[in-house]
Amino acid sequence: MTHETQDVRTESDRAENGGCTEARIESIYQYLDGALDSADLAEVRAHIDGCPECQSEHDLELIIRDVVKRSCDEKAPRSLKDKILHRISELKTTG
Amino acid sequence: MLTLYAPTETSHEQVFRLDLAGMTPLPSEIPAADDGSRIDPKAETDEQRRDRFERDAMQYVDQLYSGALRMTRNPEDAEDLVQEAYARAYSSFHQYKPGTNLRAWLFRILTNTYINIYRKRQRRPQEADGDGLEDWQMARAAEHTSSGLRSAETEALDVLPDSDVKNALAEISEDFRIPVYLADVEGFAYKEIADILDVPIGTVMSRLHRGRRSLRELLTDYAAERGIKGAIELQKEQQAKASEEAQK
Repeated sequence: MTHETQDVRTESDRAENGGCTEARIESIYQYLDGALDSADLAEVRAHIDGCPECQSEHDLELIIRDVVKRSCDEKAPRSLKDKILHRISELKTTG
Repeated sequence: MLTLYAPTETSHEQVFRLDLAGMTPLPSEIPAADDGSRIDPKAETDEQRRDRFERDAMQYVDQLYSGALRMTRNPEDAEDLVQEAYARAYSSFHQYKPGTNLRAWLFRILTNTYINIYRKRQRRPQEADGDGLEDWQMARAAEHTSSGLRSAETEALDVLPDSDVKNALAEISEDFRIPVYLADVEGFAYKEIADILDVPIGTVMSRLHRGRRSLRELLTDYAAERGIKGAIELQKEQQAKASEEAQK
């Protein structure tokens, strides 16, 4: 991938994971983030399909994202919108 | 007869023209509102601008509030932050280019407002630098994948209460927490997060990587705890049942 991912591939960071490294995990993140071009995408997809460790990594990451999304679905207090509207009604933005 | 199936020059041209006509505009080209891109902010009256702001920007209150909660980690400050961010957004709404990503623009203002004002007088003490994750913990996080999580743990993770998830997020240092929130909850692309936080894309990627590792470590700990508790409760239940049976 790009040189920008290099900083996550340092030696001390490298954790052997059935032959798969942190760089592999980074590529799974990028895969799930929709940040890969089509060539890399096909390569990562093929690897995930053939590697049980990366498959479970992929599945677990999906669960985590799901759980996080679900948990952060807060609604603003009803009064907040009114407070904002009141506040901006007192502001002038044009000359 | 064969010539009927052979594509002629004209049919090529027709297909090409059809493709062009059917092309969908890039997301950045889709106006935020029906006629958003044709609005000239310079020619607007105060009233028109306020109407446009109410119509286009106010729909993101819940999302900005949720983002503000991740930043301030308490509801009172989150409300104040969102109010202040909206006031600033309204004051500079004439600088917002209609048709561009309004949600990202608002999140950028929210982040800047937070950094400029709230970070300085936060009610909860600021955590130490770094993500609070030592190298041995990073290695442990990786172990979770090599051994594979026990299915009970994965199940516990899936049904983890929202409060646990929010606590886990709140425990991660904000340098990592905010990018994770923007990516995983708000679904912003790396480039958009880089613009919102005003850092290079490479920094966004490495913070996301470390933030996600921290989050996983914390969540699997919560899940393991709940999984074990669940198992202990089940054991107690079974023991009680057994002694009941024995008494009969």
